[in-house]
Amino acid sequence: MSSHREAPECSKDPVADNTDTYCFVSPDRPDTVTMITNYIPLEAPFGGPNFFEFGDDVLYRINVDNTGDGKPDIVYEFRFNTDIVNPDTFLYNTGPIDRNTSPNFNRPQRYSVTEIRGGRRRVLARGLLCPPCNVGPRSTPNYARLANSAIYSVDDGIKVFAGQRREGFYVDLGAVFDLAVLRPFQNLHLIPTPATNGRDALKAFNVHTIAIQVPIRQLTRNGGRPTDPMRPESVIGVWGSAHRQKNSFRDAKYDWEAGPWSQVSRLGMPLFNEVIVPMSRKDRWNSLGPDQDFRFAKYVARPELARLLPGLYPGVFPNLKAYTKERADLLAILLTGIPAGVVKGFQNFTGPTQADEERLNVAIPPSKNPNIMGILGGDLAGFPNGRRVFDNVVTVELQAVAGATIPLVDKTFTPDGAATLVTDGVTPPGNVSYLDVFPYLDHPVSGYDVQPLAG
Amino acid sequence: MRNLTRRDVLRASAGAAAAAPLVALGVDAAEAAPDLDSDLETQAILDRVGRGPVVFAIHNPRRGEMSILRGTKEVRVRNRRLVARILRAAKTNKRLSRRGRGGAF
Repeated sequence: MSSHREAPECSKDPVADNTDTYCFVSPDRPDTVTMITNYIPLEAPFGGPNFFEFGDDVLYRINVDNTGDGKPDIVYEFRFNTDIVNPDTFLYNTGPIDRNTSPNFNRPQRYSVTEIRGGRRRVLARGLLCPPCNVGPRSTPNYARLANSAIYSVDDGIKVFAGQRREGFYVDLGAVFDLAVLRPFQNLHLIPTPATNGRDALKAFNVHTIAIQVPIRQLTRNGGRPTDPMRPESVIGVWGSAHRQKNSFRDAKYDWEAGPWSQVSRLGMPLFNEVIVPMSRKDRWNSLGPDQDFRFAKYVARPELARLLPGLYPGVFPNLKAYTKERADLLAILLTGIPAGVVKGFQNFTGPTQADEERLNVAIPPSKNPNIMGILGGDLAGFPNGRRVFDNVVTVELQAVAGATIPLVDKTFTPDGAATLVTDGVTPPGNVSYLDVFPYLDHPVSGYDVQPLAG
Repeated sequence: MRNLTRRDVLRASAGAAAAAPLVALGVDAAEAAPDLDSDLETQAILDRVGRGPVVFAIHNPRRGEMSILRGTKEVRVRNRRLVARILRAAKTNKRLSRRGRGGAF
């Protein structure tokens, strides 16, 4: 998965498990950037009576680096607080929830948003309400109205939303974790079966989303709205992170935390910790900031998956198998950004500091005809220029690892024919839907309506 | 050997790190306050500490290295004498041990 259950420790701590991070120039407000971080992987929509919610004891952050040093220059912090309205019932709701303040809603969750800039903290909002989870037509009969009323405009043109959303990421999990099977090509696998279409394993699941939309001028290093994509100040780096206090103490009388916040999860580029970092190092990676990612550069330079592909698909990737140089293409895409001169009219290079961030060139306007393959599909507004909610990051990264992007930096290499074809066979639209407006991820699947694990 | 009291811990900690927030092992400041009414100096420290638990985490007993956690702060302290007294208390203080709920399988 992008980063769902990607590391041993955070897989046991779902409310602090950052599953996806998105950042893109907002298509309907192109003077703003939308940043989204998702948590709680694989939410079964019917998962009651204690439906999903953010952790009151978790500090959630969206981080922005606009100076290229791998450290946050601007941070948006989100803290949650949950109430029990009726202490005498086991029910999540005691009747239909027609508004987020309904007395029938027994677990209202409120949150605050704080901006940290130049070391100064500024509370942007307090007491904002999350919508309830989408229980079903009797409990949450007009879900869109509930969700839309939980979109808030706060200071300085900033919008925020926090609550349940339909999973926007799509991938054939059942196949890729079964010895890297890609169903459309599984007839070529070391253990072959007839080729079939891919299956989106996530289509029946929800996630919890924290989304913020911020004017571009508030995110760039010089406070401007760049128009020249080739200027360094046009690029920002974004990642999400979750933090817990160092100590917790629980017994019949006490339930509290103490100490500074320790980072327990983070996520910039999709699949970085999931596919690049070895399992023994994943928890360590989650505890560090992007400025420490030079420690993991060796795993990018010689990725394990690039070694596995020729073995699992015998004879399909001979050129990749023979390639022994360090993967300068992946080091650029994942750790420094793509420098000028590689892709015509584009760069998202942030300097020599190797850091896992989603690098967004805010001078590239939103595409009128988006291509889910992003830059590989000729759409400069798409991944890996930031990441839009619908971008096909699995296929893009598969093809990159398979060698499709090596010629960008090494003209002597000819990719294998399969390198530009490999895919897990899962693409939207169809099973996945999105919104055209903030927060762009669709309303969650209702617990009543979902068909569990339908094929 | 005399058991370590909360006041002992407070005094010892105050000597080790004057600015360090402190209290006792797993006991919140509000609960500890009544024991300290007669000690103005300690009360003043408690006033600065405010409500909320304070946690000692001993990293290296031989070198006397420990952290004191309160709120979202952490103070690093190096005080072999204090660490030794806390360890003695952890071993012998019956009141503290009775508070524990774990250990039975």
